[in-house]
Amino acid sequence: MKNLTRLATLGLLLLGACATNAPQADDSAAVGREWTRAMIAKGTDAIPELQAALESEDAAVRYQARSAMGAITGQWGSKGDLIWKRSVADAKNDERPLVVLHLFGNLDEEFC
Amino acid sequence: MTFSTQAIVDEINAHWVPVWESVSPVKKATFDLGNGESLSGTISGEIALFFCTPDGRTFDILPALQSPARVLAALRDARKFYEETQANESATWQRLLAQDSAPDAIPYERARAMRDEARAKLRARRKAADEATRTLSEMVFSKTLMVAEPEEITVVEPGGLELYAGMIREMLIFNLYREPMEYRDQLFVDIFDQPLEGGHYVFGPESLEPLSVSQ
Repeated sequence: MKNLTRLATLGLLLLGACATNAPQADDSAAVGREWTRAMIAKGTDAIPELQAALESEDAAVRYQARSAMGAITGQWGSKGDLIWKRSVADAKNDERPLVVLHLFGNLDEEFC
Repeated sequence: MTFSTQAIVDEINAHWVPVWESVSPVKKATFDLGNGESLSGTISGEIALFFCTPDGRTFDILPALQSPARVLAALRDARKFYEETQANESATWQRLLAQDSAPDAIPYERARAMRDEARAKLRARRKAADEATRTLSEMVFSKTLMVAEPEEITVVEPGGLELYAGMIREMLIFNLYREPMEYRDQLFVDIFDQPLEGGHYVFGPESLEPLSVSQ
């Protein structure tokens, strides 16, 4: 029953994100991955929808939302209010100083 | 966690361009605890925060994992300095030298001695146990993830040894205004003593030796 509810939730989210590209898989993990890909493809426009999904009661939905948010913002666990550049070269500008985080692994992965 | 803190997010969005770069793949360890539970974590997960001019030249570095309050204070201090001086060469030199002679500063030689002492203790501990126990003991000083139903809990242990500051000032004084990646080997390998290598190490439920309370 729990899996059916999760599948239904992710399916509805996916329909909202990408109605013409619904996956054929019959398991919630595949639906979740497809939804995540669709959200990432939308870029920063997906942030309000992802912020809503982060409040879901379903842990699997929250996980998928965090994955998509991490890929879009450059930071795992972000709520979407800080967008990171991926290199100093991309960040150079004429006005604002840079704050550059160096780390092992990747900030947009769960386990960096 | 630090970069989800609202005050830090607000400070960065208002005054900075945020960038992250990976210096190396992360080294991971996973301990299978049985019953579907596992403990995973990173090893050698030190970080550094560089404060740079808009064209990417470093004028200050905050080493190691710090508390959100410490990061926010450093951001504000660096921003104030940049706004007042544009981090020009003369002002940056004077700032570094003033930091180096502050009453609470740890001098370079003392910092090196403290670091070497800490390394010696760590190496002694490495010799004293099996591989899994050594890995676990290193992992607890870094980011650790406990996986259990229904959710994961991430625990971050702040490190941030003040002794790094003296060695980093020395590095900057001799090599000012470089781009962050140009400091990578000196900062992570020489100062942090963290090899730039990754990998995933998995240990079974039988891998950990029981610990004596007296240890």
